[in-house]
Parts: sequence; structure tokens; C-alpha cells
Amino acid sequence: MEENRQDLMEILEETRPDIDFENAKALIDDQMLDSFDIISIVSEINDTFDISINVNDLLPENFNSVDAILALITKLQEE
Amino acid sequence: MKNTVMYMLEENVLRSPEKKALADEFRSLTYREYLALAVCTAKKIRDLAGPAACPQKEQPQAEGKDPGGTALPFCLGAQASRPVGVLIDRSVLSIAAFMGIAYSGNFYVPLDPALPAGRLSIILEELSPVMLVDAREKPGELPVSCDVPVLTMLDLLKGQTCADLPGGIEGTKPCPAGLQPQDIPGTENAENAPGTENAVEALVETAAALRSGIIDTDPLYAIFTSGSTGIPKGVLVPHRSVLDLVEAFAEVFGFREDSVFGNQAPFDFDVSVKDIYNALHCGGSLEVIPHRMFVMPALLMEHLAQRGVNTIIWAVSALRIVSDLRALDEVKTSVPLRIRHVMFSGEVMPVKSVNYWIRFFPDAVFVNLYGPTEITCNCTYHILDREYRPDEMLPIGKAFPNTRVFLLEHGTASENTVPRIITPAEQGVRGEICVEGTGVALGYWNNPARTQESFTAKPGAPASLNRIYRTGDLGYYKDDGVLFFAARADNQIKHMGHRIELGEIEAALSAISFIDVACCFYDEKKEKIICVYQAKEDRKRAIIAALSDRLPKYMRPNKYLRMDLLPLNAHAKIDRRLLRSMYDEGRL
Repeated sequence: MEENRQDLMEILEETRPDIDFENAKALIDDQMLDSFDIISIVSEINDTFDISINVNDLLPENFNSVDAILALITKLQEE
Repeated sequence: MKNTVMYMLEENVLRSPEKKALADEFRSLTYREYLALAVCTAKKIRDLAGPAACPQKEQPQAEGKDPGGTALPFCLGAQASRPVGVLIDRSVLSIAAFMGIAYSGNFYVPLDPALPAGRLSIILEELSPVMLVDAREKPGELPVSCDVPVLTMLDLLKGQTCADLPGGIEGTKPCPAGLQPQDIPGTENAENAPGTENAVEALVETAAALRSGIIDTDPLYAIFTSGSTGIPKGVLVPHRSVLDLVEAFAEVFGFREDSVFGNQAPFDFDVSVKDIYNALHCGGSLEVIPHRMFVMPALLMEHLAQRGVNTIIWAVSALRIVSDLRALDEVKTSVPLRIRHVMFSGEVMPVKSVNYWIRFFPDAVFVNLYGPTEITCNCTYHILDREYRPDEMLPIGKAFPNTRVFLLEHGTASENTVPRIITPAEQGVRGEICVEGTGVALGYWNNPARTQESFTAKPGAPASLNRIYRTGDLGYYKDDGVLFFAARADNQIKHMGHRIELGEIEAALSAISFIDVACCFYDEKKEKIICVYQAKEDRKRAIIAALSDRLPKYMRPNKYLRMDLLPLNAHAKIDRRLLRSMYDEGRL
């Protein structure tokens, strides 16, 4: 889990160095991430964690915070 | 005369006043309500912003037809049309505000309130608007101080009387808490509104009188775009250019009254101009799609299906979101989704993305559109007539009716020689794409120097003949004179669908005190803006903080690389080519 978090933080910070991901709780609702960020984040998460995020997972509640994204990754890894 | 965009709205109101014209996530306006809102806001704007210096002239009072007493003294013509800024969101109120400003005889300038304060300040300074209209669903504070009046839609409608506002006589109810859906004319219960034939005719008459002094060379809007010197440029577009655009689109694509346009592009992006005015021209409807559906597209297709969207004119980047995330793979909409037209523009469309779309909508017409804001949206089109291989380029095609597009020899002509026009027979020879026609904009607002640079006389022709616009894009011909886009002639890039001058980013970087000098380039493969800066120590966080006040997020570099000394070339300028090759070889 801790390892996942580190890898994820790396992906996020590489994509958007200007966002403080540790403290952000409304990445989607507050329009901090835009669609291109999502495309690149999703493709890198898929590669890094060897999962496949489906279009039906692309909901604000799954991407609003680092914890939410981590939960999604864990869920898909367990499937 | 059918010389301004407003005539289209009036024709629709006469033909089908109760038809849905505009809708967003929360509200929907009929053509009658759309016009009523525009007329009411126009009158208030004229009261407040002019054209002011005109003799008080009595309007003939049409007895019984104008129960609201809408006749106001006005005159147009002598007083120049002036800019009115509009704070936009994803609500139909923005569009109603645009139309109201057009009726007032001024021109509108859509402004995204989410822009960084520094950039918004620069734009407002360049623009010096007579007033700002806060057309947002939830009006709020401006992030910058500004010395012109800021009025909400409610401010503009309050106390107004207009035959077709709900309840007929009183107009909108004052609502101190801000604009609520029930305060918008007609949205609460349309059957209450006096949409009788007489009232509709009176409304259209009032509208027609309002616009009677406006001519087709008057500006309709200005849209700001990135400027290489660090100051955004406002492209000023007149009514006739927009009318020319929608007439050409209608002729080529045949939109119909049952066309429902799904608007994706923000209103400060000229792609949205096509939605607003094509819908008006064909008497169709416009659905404003919420922004978040393009960030989290799980709900996008269901929304399009439910709203009956059948016509898509989007930025390439928006179509790519759907294809890159494979958002059509497992979509089952509750009602069938019937897409007739899929059109895209803004940057080069990857063939594999468009093929993904074609797989799901095999019966739709797919069109690659090309053109910069300065020629009013698009000057060429290519209807995809066969399957393209992923390693092929999509053509930008051929010119729209009433538009001439040609290639000018690039880079070889000295100042005294006239650049040669490249003929379609010279296949593969690159030249600068130039555009001639009614679509060519008036120029850049308040910027004669930049205007003269790009809006020029046709080379070799007397200056009194048509002006052309030099796009700065390089193109070439292939088979049968079909045009292809090749590259930019300068440092402009397309990133995430946005047109960006790298010079503007560099100007913002060099304004930071601890940076000696900086250079930016674009990694097309990774779609990242790379910034190489010269400074004594690594200050990435501080740079990001400083830039966030000056540049919108899509303009901020994705990667920051520090050097002790940036390499210079023989002309003592930063050696961009060397930096680029160092980067490509992983030596930075």
C-alpha cells in the first residue's frame, strides 16, 4: 500500500507539478485536474500497476483525492 | 436586411417561438425566451454603456404592441461599438448575454473567471471594457480589481419590463441571493408567459428596432489568444464573418431544424462560435455539456443520448479524451445515441482516434476542420471519405465556399521580392497557408502593429484589394490539390487543444527575479512543455508558484530543467536547436 502511494505520487507530481496532491481533496470537483491530466494519469496508472481502469470507473469520487485513487487501484488489483 | 447574426434569432422566434433553443445542465430556453432575455439585457446595457452620445430621439410607440414601454432613445453609428466583457461558465446565460450585447450595438468578449489574476488583469488592461457582465450561474467576486461596473444578469434584468418575460408585465423578480432558475424569464412555467402571437410579434419588432443601426462590418465579438510577446491578443470578428461561416457550413453540411449541437468548447474558445451560430442558422438546438463530463467521461454518452445530441463540433482534444480512455467501449445508453456529424479542429487529429469513433458511429459524417481564430473558426474542411491508416495524415482539405486559401512561398523571399504563390501542381512543396475572404477578422483589438504584421495586402496586388491573413502555418498540396498541414513557421504550439505561443511562457518566466533566462520547447511525443532555465539554484516550486499568477494551467511547463548556463548560438541567442537535441538525447 505504501509502495503504491509512492508510485502514485510520482505519477501525479510528474503530470502536474503545481498541485499539492497530499492535501487536495477535490481534484475533480474543484477542476484542479483537467481532461488531459486524467488521460495521462490513467494511462500511467494502468502501466505502472498493471491494471485496466475502465470508463465506468471514471467518476469524480474515484479521482478526487490521492486516497480515492489508491482505493480504486487496490480494488482493481484485487479483482 | 439580413446583415447581423440577430436576424437569425428573430426568424426563429417568428417561426417556432416555443422550440427549445438553448439548454444546459440546469435550464433550457425557448427561442422566445432567448430573444426576450437578449432584448432586455440589450436595453439595460445601452442605458449604461451607450452608445451614449446621441440626441434623445423618440421612438414611435406602437400602441398596444409594446405593453412594456420598451421604446428607448438610442442611436448607433457615430458612436463606435465598444467591448463588454462577459464572465462565462457553462450556462446558457452566457449565450443570452452575448446576444444582448450584440443587440446593444457593442461587442462581447468572453472571459474565463478561472484565469490567473495576472493574466486577467493584462487582458482587462488591453481591452478596457465599458462594463463587465457576470453571466455565471453563480455570480461571484472577480479575482482582480477592476474599475468598470460589473453587472450580473439579474442586475440587467431587474425592474425590466418586456412582454415576453414571465408574468408578462413585471419582468423578473428581484432576487438578492443571486440568480435562481425561477428568476429567469419563462423557465418556471412557460404556460404563464404571454407567448401569444401578438406578443411574439411585438417582441421581434422591438428586437428589430434595436438592431436597426448595426451594420455587418461592426464587430460581434473578440476572443483572446496567446501572444508571443507575453500579451494576449484579442481577435476582433464582425457580424458578416460569422454569417459567412454559418452560410458556408449550411451549404456544405446541410444542418437541419432537428440538428442538436452538443457544445463542448468553452465560450472563450472560438470552436463554440460554430455551435452557437450554426444552431441559430438552421433553427436547431444547442446543448451545453457540463465541463466535468469531459474530465470524467463515464456519464458523457448517456448525457448526449438523453439530450438528443446528433451534431458534434468539438476540439480534437475532446474527441481524444473519449478515444484515449476508450469511453465508448462499454457504453450502453438508455436511449439510442444517433450522431450524424462529428467535426473536429484545433490541432492535428490522430487517425487512430478518429478510427475509434468511426467504429462506433459508422453512419456519421466525419469532418476535419482547419483554421485559426483570425479567419473566423475554419477556412478549410475535409470530409473523411475512406478509411485512413494510423500512419497517415488527415488532409485539411479544401477551402469553404466564398473563401480562398493559398500557399505562399516561405522563407526564401527577401524583403524586396514578392513571395511566390505555390500552385497545387507543386505537390509536397511547403508554403505558408494564407486566407482571403469575408471570414478574415477585423484585426487585433487595440494592437495595430500585430494587426499589420499578420493581416496584410495580398503579395503582388495593390493594397486597396482584399486583405489576407497569414496564418503562420505551413502546408502543402497532395493529390488533386488537397491541402495538408505540415508545421508551424514559428514558436506557436498546440497543447491540449490550446494555441500557445512559447514566447508568452518565456516572457512570464523571464519576469521571475531569480531566473536569468529561460527557453521553452514542446515534446510532441509526450505532449509536454519543457522549460529549461538558467539560475543559480533549483527553484522549481517557486517558479510554479510565480507562474500560476501569470499563466493558465495549460500554459505552465510540465517539466523544469535547470542549467548553470544556457548555450548560445553564433548570433548570441539561446541555441534552441542545441537544447532540443540535448533534450532528445537525454543529455539535459
